[in-house]
Amino acid sequence: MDNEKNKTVIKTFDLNKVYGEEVKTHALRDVNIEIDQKTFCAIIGQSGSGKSTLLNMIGALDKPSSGYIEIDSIRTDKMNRNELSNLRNKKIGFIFQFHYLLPEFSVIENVLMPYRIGYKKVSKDILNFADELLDEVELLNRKKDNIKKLSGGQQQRVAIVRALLNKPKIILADEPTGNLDSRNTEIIYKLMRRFNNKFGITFVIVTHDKNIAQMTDRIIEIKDGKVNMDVTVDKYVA
Amino acid sequence: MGLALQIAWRFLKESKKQTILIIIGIAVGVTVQIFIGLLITGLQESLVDSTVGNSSQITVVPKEVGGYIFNFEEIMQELENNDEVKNVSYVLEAPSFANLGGSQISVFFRGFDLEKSEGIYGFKEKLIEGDLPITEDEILIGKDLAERYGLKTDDTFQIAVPPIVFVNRDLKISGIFDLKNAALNDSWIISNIGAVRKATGKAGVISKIEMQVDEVFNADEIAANLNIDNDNIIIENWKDQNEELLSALNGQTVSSLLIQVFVIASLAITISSILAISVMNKYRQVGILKAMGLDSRKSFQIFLFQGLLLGLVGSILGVILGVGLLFSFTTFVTNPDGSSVIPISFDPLFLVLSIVIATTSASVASVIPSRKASKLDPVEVIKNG
Repeated sequence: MDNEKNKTVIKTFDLNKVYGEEVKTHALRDVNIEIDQKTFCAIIGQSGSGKSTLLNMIGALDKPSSGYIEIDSIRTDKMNRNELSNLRNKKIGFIFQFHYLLPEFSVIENVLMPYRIGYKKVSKDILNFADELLDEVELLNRKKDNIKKLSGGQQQRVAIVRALLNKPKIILADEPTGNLDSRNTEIIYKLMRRFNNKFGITFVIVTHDKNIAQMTDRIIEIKDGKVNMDVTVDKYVA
Repeated sequence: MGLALQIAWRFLKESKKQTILIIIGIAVGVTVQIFIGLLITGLQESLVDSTVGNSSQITVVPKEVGGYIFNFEEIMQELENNDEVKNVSYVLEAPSFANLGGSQISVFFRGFDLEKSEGIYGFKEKLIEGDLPITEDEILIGKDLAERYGLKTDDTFQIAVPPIVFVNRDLKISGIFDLKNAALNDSWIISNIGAVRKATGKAGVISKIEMQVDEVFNADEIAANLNIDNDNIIIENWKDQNEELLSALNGQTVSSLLIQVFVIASLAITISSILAISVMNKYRQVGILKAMGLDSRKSFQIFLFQGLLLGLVGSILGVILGVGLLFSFTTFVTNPDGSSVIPISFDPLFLVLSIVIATTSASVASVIPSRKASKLDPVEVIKNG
C-alpha cells in the first residue's frame, strides 16, 4: 500500500440523521467510518436501513442531524451552500440508479455538464478526455445522439463517464445497476472497477445486491441506521 | 451566464408546445397593447393636428382688445431667431362688411404676408380654384361664401371696413379656398397685408404675430419662455385656449395607459404561473444539475432567462402582429374617399419601449419560479426519483 492509498478521503464522525418532528425516525445512529483513497467499497443493507441516507450525506446532498463528515480532510458542515456545490462538482461524482441524465441534451453535452458547471469554458483537453472515456464505454459513435435514443445500459454508461469527467476523488454510486439486466450489470461493474484502477478514484457503491458487493474490496453493512459490519471482502460472510 | 442561458434555451426548446403557447400568449397581449397604444396616439395626433395643425399655436396679440402691435419688425426678428418656434408670420385683420347679394355681410378681412403664413395655413394647398392674390386688389374667399353667393374666380365685390362706412373699391376674387371649417370658409376674406392696409388705412402696424412649434404639447412652456421686451403685448398659446380638448386628451391618455398596464400585468401573472409549472416540470433536471454542483444563483438564472427569452420573442412577435394589425386597420377601414379613418403614426420608440416593458415584465414574472428553483434541494429529487 502506498501513501496515496492510505490517505483517508471520507471520514464520518458520530453521524446521526433524524427525520420528522413529532414522530422521529432515526435513519442513522452514530456512524463512524473511514474510507481511503482508491478504495472500491460497497455499502449494503436492507431497504430503509439508511444506506442511501449515508451516501447522500457523504455526497453533501443531505445534512446530518448531528456529527460531521470530512471529505478529503475538509469538514463539510462548515461549508455554505455554494462551497458545498463546488465540493460536489470538483471532488465527487454521482451515479444513480435512474441514470439522471438530462433528456434535453446529447450524450456529449451530458458528459461535459459537470465540467461546464465547474469550469465554464471547455478546453480541447477535456473534449479529448470525454472522447477517450466515451470510447472506453463504447459510446463514442453515439456522442451526438440525444440521450433518449440510448438503451438503459448505455445511459448508465454515459452517467459513469459524466461522473468521471471532473476527475473527482470520490464516486458515489447509489444502486447503479439496480435497473439493469445481468449482462449490463456486469458491464457497469467492470467499467467502475477499471476506472477505479486507472484513475485511483474511490468508489462507494450502495447496493442491496450481495453478488455485486462481493465483487468490491470492502463491504460496510448498515442495519437500522448503524454500522453492523465493516470488513474486507475476503472476511465477508453473507 | 452562458450555461444558464443554454440550459434555459434547451428547456424551452424541449417543451415546444408549452413554449409556443406562452409566446403566443405574450404576443397577443403585446399586440393588444401596441394596437391600443398606437391607435390612441394616432387618434390624438389626428385630433390635435386637425385642431391646431393649421392654425397659430402661439400668438402675440396687443394688450388692448382690437388694438395693434407697433414695432413688430423687431419682435418678428427676435422670434425668427428662436429655434423653438417656426412658421412665424404676422397678420393685419379687420372685421368688415362685404357688399354681397344686395346686403352687407359680416366678414373677417385678414391680410397676411402670404409667403410667411404659408407655413401655418398652407393656403396654396387649400385652394380649390384660382391662385393666391398678387395685387392689393385681389382676395381669396372661402368655399362656403362662394357657394352661398354663387361667386367664382375673377368676380368682384366691395368691402367696407368700419369706421369707414364704405370703400368704393372693387376687389377681385383671385381664388377660392377650403379650410375644412365652414365658419372660416364662410367668413374669412384673405389677401396680402397691403390690401388690408389700404382698406383700413393702418400702415406700419399689425394685429397679431402667429407662429407654430415643433413640440405642440410644449407650446405653453415655449410661450412662457419667449422674452419679448414689449409691455403692450400678450402671448397666448393654444393649450390655454383649448383646456377642454386637453382634458379630454389627457383622459384618453390615462385610460389608454391603464388598459396597457392591465394587459401587461395580466401577461406577467400568466407568465409567472406558467413558469411555475415549468419549474415543476423541470424539477428533476434542476435537482440533477444542483447535485452536480450547479449553484443557487445559476439555478435562479435558468428560469429568469426563460422568462427573458419568452418575453423577448413574444413581444417582438407581438409588435410585428400589432403593427400588421394596424396596417390592415388603416388599409381596410377607410373613409368613402379612400383615406384612412385614423391616420396612424408608427412611433419606433413606443414599439421599442413596448418590447422592453414586456420583456422586463416577463423577467420580473419569472423571479418567483426562479427563486423556487434556486431553493430546490437536490436530495428531494434524488430521494423521490
